[in-house]
Order: sequence, then C-alpha cells, then structure tokens
Amino acid sequence: MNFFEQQDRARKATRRLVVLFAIAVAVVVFSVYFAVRTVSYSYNGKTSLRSYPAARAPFVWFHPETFCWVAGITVLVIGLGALSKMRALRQGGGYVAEQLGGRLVSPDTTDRRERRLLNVVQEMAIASGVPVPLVYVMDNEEGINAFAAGYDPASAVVAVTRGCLTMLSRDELQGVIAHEFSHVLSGDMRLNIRLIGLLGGIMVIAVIGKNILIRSRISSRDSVPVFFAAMCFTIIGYGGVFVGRIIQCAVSRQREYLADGAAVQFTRNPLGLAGALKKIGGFADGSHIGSPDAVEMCHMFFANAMASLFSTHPPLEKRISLIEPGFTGRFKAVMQADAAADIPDEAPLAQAAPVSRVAASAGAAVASIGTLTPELVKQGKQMLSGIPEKFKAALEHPLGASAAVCCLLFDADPEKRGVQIRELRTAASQLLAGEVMRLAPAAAELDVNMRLPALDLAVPALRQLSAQQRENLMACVKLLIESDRKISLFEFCLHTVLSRRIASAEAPSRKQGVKPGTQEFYGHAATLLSALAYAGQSDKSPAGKAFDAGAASMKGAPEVLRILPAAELKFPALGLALKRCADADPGLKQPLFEAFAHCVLHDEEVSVTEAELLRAFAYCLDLPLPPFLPVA
Amino acid sequence: MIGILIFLAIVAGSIFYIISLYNGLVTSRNRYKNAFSQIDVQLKRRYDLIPNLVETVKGYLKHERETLEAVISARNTALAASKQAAGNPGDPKLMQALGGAEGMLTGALGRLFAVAESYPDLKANQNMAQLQEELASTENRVSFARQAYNDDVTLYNTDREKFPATIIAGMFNFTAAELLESTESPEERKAPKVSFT
Repeated sequence: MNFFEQQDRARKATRRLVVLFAIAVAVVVFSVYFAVRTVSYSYNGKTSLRSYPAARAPFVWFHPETFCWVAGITVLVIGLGALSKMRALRQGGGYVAEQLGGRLVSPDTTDRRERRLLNVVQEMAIASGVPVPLVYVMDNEEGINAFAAGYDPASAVVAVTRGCLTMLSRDELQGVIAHEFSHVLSGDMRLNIRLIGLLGGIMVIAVIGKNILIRSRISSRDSVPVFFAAMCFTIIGYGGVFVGRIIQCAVSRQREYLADGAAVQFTRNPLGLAGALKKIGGFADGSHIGSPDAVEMCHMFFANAMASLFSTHPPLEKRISLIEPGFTGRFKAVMQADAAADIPDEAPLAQAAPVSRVAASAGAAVASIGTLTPELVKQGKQMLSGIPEKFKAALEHPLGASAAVCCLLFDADPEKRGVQIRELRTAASQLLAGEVMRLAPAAAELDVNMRLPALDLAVPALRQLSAQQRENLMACVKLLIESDRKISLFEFCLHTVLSRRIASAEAPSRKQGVKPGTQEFYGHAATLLSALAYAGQSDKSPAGKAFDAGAASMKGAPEVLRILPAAELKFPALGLALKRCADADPGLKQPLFEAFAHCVLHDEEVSVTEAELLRAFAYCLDLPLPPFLPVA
Repeated sequence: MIGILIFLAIVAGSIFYIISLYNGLVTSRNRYKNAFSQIDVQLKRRYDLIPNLVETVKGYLKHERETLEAVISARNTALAASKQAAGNPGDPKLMQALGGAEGMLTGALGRLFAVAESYPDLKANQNMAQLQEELASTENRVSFARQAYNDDVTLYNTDREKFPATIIAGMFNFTAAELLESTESPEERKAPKVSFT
C-alpha cells in the first residue's frame, strides 16, 4: 500500500471513528438514564424530585420526559467536553506533548543523549523528505515509551520518555523513532489526535462525578442521595472510559503491528526494534506512563502506557516474535545501571560521490513517497556530514536558521549577490543582516542539492520564531527572490515551501482543496505541468514533449490538457494552483504527482536540477519525497 | 419543553465560549513562556563561555584583578537571576532583575575587552579571538530570542486586555507579563570589537 492509499485509508478510518463514538455516546446516555431512573424511583416517596402520577406506581422503564432531559443534558455535556478538548488540540502536537509533561529539546542542545536523539531524528527526516519534527522529552517518565503527534507530516512532533533516552542504545532508539516515523508517514497521527478529542468528551462525565464526590463531604440531610448520585456519575463516567478504551483498542492494535513492520522495513535492523521491546519487557517500569492525562492518549504510544483489561497494544512477546522469529519469550531483567553505558561517538561517514545524473522511472518515484530504506537512511547520514559545520550549527537556533534561509537564496553571480545583500540590509533587522553576512561564506560551500535538506533541517528552529519575526523573514525572502527581477521556478518553490512549513502548526481548518476531476483541477494541473515542462526543456527535449508525456499519464481528460504558452504563465496563478492542490485530498495528489514525474523523467536525460525541481514540487504539495530517486 | 431545551443550549454555548476564551489565554501564556526558555538556552551558553574567557585572560591580565572579578561576580548574579526568572517568566520583578543583571554583565564584559585592547599578546591569542567571536554571536542570539519573547508577551497582554477575555483573565488570575528590555546601549553592544582609545 503506497503513501497515498495509506493516507486515504486513515481518513476513512476517522469517519468510522465517529460512528463508534456515536455508539459510545448512546451507551453512556442509556446508562445515565437507567441510573437516574433507578435513583428517582427509589425516592418516589419524596415527591420533590419529579412529579409522578401516583406514589408507588409500577416501575416503568421508559419515561419519555426523564429520558429527554437525561439524553439532552448528557449529550450536551459530552459534546461540550469533546468540543473543548478538540479546540485545545488545534494547537497541534506540541500541546499534546506538553500536556504529558514534555519539554522541547532545543535544537542546539549540548546534552549528549539529547544530541544523539536529535541526530537519529534528523537522519530519518532528511532521508524521508519530511521536515525535521520538533522533539520533546518527558522528563518525569522513567518507563520506556514514545509517541508522535500532529495533524500532518509537516507539523509533526515526536516525544520520548526519559527512560528511552537513558536506557536504549542508538540502534534501539532508531527502531523506536522509525516506528514513530511510520505513524507520521501513514496518516495515523491525525486519526489519533481526533480520537483524543472524542475520548475527552466521553470521559468528562467521570470527571464531573469525581468533582461532586469530592465536594459532597458536607453533612446534611440530603448529602446521602447527592453522594449516591455522584457515585453513579463516577461509575457511569468510568463506564464511558471503559467504552472509550474499547474504541482505542479497536483503532490502535492493528496499526501497531503495521508500524512495527514498517519500522523494520525502514531500518532493516529488526534487532534495534526488538531490542527496545525486550528492554521494555525486562524493565520494572516497563513502558508505564505516570501522567494522569495519559489515559486519553494511550492509543498514541509506542507500547502499553497503563495496565488495563483492554490493552491498546498487542502483547510484547507477540510483537517481538513477529520481527525476531527466534524469540524464546523470556525477558532478561534490565536495571537502570546496566543501561547507563557510555555513548560512543558516531564516526562520520565518508562523503558519497556527487551524483550528476539520475535515471529513474516515474512509477518508482511515486512509490518512493512516504517510504524509507536503510540505504536512504545511510545517505541521509552522509548528507548531514556533507553540510559545512558552521552552517549546520547555524541551523540550530532561530537567528541562524533565518539567516541560513536567506543565504539559500543568494545568486551564484557575485554582482547580483551584491545587489541582493544591499537590498537585504535595508529590509532586514540589523541582527539578521549581520548574521547573514557572517554565514555567507559557509553557505557558499553548500552543495546545490543540499538546499532542500537544509530547509528541512532549519524547520525546528524556524518554528520558534514569533509571528512578527516570521513575517519579517518572509518579506526578506520575497525581496531576495525578486531582486534580480527574474524569479526562477526553484526560488518560487522554496518560497512556497517555506511559507507552508513555518506557518503555525495549528490544525488545518476546514480548507478544502480542489476536487478531483473538475475543470478547476485540470486547469491547475495544466499550469503546473507547463511550468515544469518549460523549466526542464532543452534542445533535445522540447517543453511540448515533456508536457505531453505528463498529460498522457493522467487518467481523466488528457485531450483537454494543452501546454500553456510561456508568456501566459504567471507566478500568482502558479501559487494558487499549488495551494489548491496541496490542500486537496491525497487521492488527488497521486495522479498529479505521477504526471509531474513523467514530465520530468520522460527522457533519460535527467539533470540534478530537474530532479531537485521535482522534489521541490513534491514539497509544495506536502509530499515526503526522499532526496534520492531510486536508480532504475 | 422546547423553551427549556433552547435555554440549555444557550447555557451550553456560553460555557463553551468561556472555555475557549480561557484556553486561548492559556495558549498565549504558554507561548511566551516557551519563548522565554529560548532566551534561557542562549543565556546559559553565554554564562558557560565566561569561565573559559576568564581562564584565558587570567595569565595576561595579572594586574587587572578588579576587572576580572567584576566579570565573574556579574556573571554569577546574572546566572542566579536567570534561574529565578525561568521559574516564573513574565513576572515583572524577576524580568527587571534579569534585565538589570544582564546589563551589568554586558558592562563588565565591555570593560574587560576594552582593557584587553592594550595587551597585544592577548589580542594575538587564538583562543581569545575565538571566545570573543562566540560571545558576540551568543549575544546576537540572545537579542533575537528576546525579540521573539517580547513579541509574544505583547500578544499575550493584548489578548488579556481585550473584551470579554479580560473578565476571564481577572477570574482566573492571568496577570500581565513584563517585557525583557534591552539593557545594552549601542556602545556597549559594540564593546567586544571597538577600541576605547
């Protein structure tokens, strides 16, 4: 199943979730109703509660008025709870991490264990074409566990417990992170975060019951029925929790197997993941999470966060034996002291020979989206070591990252660069301009293909900019692009990708992209395909041929698609086309990207610039395309 | 019957509105607190660089003990102030204390570099040059992080004063946050490089 199908499947699962939730709400409503009915019937003597036709009437199960009241209030309360929780969750993955006691790891941390964690995450992000997610550590959790949260790969957050940091080796850490990356790439994250919202609603009754219980210590004649009612609410509320747990199980168990499989595929190192699972099995604290808010989030974790009748994860033994068939089922006890081994430094990898030509098929390119292989991870490491030290250090803090982004847009021609620098000095703050000047020499050494990975690496620091700083940066970027009065397609893509990536990580509001099969869609497709065709044209392969190759691969109405005259291609239209397509359903993006791939790869002469352009387009559409096209 | 249900719906709607106002304030507040921890990271960097600096210059500046001691004590005061401020970012007293302590430290460093200008041996020292460069870079980072923090504090204070959020703010004790003012005068900012002769 490829990336697009996975994302689609996750979206459909979200819809099924709503059905399950509706059933859960119905169950809760009925339980509350029966409790209220029983209580009110017992107090039938005291007519102050309800007006009944006669004292000691036979017990009628269905009393319409009571039922309406109960149903109305219960649904209202659950709805309020769920809506408030979902509203709060719109802040994105960082909010979830902080609720569970997570602390943001600063990109320029000097702690060796945190540094190691960041390196593992960076390698994987670069290798998969996903912007580097923010990394959080849950300092108060001694158990070994992790999760990924967020609404889409571009705004993801990865969190690990303190236990992970101190007890796992680098390979095991990589296995856990690979597992989480598979959640990021498969659309599970959005499903999980929606589920937290819904569970928040069901559990709000339990919270109310608990509160009444705590406050009903006042002794009065009526305190006993109040106490009893509160007990009922608490029990029913936890009935809601119980039902919620069943939903969590239904959603997460199967996905955990899939994520384990994907993790092994990414790293081809089953020992890493198996090692981590074994350590959980042998460790006293296991994967336990102590934070009280974790109850709503059990389904998101790497392993079982709390013991319960219905566990959200398959048993450890089963998971291990699936990836390591020879597993005996016995766990070696793991103590804190054993695991605190010294961290050996990773030896830097030899630089790979620069690739001047790539030969790949469009189908392979499409299939490579959202996947990882160990070769890619290795190449990711090599890319990282190929970035000049000073430049890499700058990417780790917001000022340096902003300056680095500006440097990426510098022209190769020294005269034009001079103009850019002069204009930048007038527009940017003194701080930024100064930092750009300091960084320019190091940036000049940066290889051309490293521009997009550098952008990926800059994202965590850029996400810490304030709103005004972001605006200033985008203004500077625009200035730099327009300075030579000629905007290249690649520059334009950089600008688009940047503005999408550093926009706040909040939940995407109901934005609907273009619908597949519509006139609008084909219009946008023609615009984008034309731009790509012109950008990659040469004497041997004119733009028209490239365009036709792309258009032919799109099922639908290829006869309608004609290449647009170069003069008609304007950047605003391009920007609109990219935006509309990026906001659309994943199902629409697959044929579109296939068309792009065919357009660029139709002839055997694919220069690195063309490949970069294809990747830039993929980034604009929020598609995680790995940096190296598979060699045909 | 319908009337009562409508009434309930209105009540529910109001509660939801109040909850979202409250959450909005919490979000704003967390944003500036996170922004402060960014400043904190860079300040720590700065404080960690200073002992190295003192070690490097100690041998050369044997007769400038007062200057050195001023730097060390200013650094320690600033470190303590930053730890306090990290416990409650935005608190007016703590922010002002931090701003003051940082200003003192910048002043002391400036005097140290001015004095160092008259010692050519020291100026030629590789380590010294590198440390000066790193300190300058770190101070830039502090300024940038402070900009972001002040932006977020302004946003929070505005959110807090808007109506009707201001009622919720009063009820739930959302106090006004304090900006972290720049305590560097233009001359002091250039101190590591300029000569005072």
